[in-house]
Amino acid sequence: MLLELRGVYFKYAELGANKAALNGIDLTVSEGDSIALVGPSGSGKSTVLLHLDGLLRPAAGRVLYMGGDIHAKGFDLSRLRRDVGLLFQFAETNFFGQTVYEDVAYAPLNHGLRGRALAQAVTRALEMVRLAPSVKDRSPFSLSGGEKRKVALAGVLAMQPRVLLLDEPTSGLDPGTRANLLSLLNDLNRQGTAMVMVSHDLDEVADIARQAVVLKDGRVADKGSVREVLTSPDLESWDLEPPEAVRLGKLLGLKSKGMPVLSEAEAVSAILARGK
Amino acid sequence: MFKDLRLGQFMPGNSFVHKLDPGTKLWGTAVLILLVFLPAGWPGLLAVVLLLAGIIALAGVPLKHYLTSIKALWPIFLVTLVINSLTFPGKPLARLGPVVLSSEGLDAGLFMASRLALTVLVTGVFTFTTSPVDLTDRLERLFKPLARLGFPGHEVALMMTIAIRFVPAIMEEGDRLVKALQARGADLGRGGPLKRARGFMPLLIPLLIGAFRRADDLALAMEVRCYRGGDGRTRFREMRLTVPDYLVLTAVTCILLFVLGVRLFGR
Repeated sequence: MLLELRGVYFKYAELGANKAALNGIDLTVSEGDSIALVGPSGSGKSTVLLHLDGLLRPAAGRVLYMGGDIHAKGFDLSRLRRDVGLLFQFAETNFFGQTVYEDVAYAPLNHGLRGRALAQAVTRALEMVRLAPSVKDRSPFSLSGGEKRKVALAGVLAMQPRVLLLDEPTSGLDPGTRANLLSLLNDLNRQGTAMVMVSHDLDEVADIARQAVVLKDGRVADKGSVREVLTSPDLESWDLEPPEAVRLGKLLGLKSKGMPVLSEAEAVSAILARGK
Repeated sequence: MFKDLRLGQFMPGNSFVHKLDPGTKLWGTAVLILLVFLPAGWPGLLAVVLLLAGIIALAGVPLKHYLTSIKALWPIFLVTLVINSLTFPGKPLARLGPVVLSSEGLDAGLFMASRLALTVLVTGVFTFTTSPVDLTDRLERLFKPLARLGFPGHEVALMMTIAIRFVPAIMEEGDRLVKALQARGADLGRGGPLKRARGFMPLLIPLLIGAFRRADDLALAMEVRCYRGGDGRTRFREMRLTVPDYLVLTAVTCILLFVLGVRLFGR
């Protein structure tokens, strides 16, 4: 097990005395996991990510990395930050460098990489997000929206994290760039990087995640495989809209290997099979 | 980190001080600061402390907010205390090489640091109980006579309102950026003051770009909602002085005249 939240409770001062952002959250992230955090706005999804990266301290409960309490005295937080990368929502508003190279190099520099090793880390990160090496001397602010998001992701990948925390990684992107980024994230997960992704788009969740956790009012309302969660009859009571394929499957009673269909491909196969 | 700053923040409330007109409070603040800096010695300062204690009680803002303001500025008080203590001539209390600490110096240092702390408390009462929007509205009114001289009172007041309204947004953005720096391995809490300051340098670019972007968006939003400057513009809320305002204005002016009278003719 890599990361774990145990009974985490957290309250933002601005929310007032009675409203907790997280109310006893338990969550585990293991090697190679691909977990989607879903739920209505204000349910605590982003707050969970900030706790997993040690950026917020729970009022009660514990956050563990490799079994060690990350807020315990003597815990090396820089090790956590090296192994756990966090891509913020609209991460392109957080560029710190004047050039793409400088920005992507920011984290490796903080972790002590210099000279050739640093240049290699930057080049590798840009290759991973499929950006041409020529962008590295350009200002990150001069790039297109999709390129900016990729640079932000490269800045996280430059540390070669074991866990990627993604806060709505595709929000505001056009469909082409979105598909491109999702395929990239899928590849990373296949290569062994564990992922925890916050998303409002359940079609996207069906495409990329294997497990899903539903948050409502700072509590875990449901968790399980993506298929179990996204085809649950309770989904709408959690203010979530099922993916289009699931809705179509429900209307037509479509099944894939005896289970409700989850994706468009499964729905098409089920319809074709019925025609035969 | 940024959100912890409490200096100059309005605390909504319904107290007697909250309800006073911003102009009344501005006049009261100016007079109190003048009293703090009048050379009346410790007895004079004690009188201001008692007066201020009464005003703080009337304002109804929890004492911890005033203490947070004082705490945030402790290095300035300390520097004032040290410089005054070590440069004021008098009977030596202690000596370290050429540096001499005198009892008169210590007294002067404590006195000056207390004056600064009182100034912070006085302005604290004003900012905690005065909505920035109400303040700029009142300032715009006060600037009105200057329009004949070509002074752009409305524009200046509008700029002040916008600047004040940007502060929480920029604080929030700063907080988000600090988290982004930390997530990428920046250790902002360690090292000497220079190292710490250097750690925050990367914030400047995104903060500035964010501020310009917000300013641009706001200008466009105002324009599409038909903003055309102050000429012929009506007000959502008309501000008028009430009986408590007249009473406070009279009391404050009487105190000022009395103190000045004592200073000028009392000896």
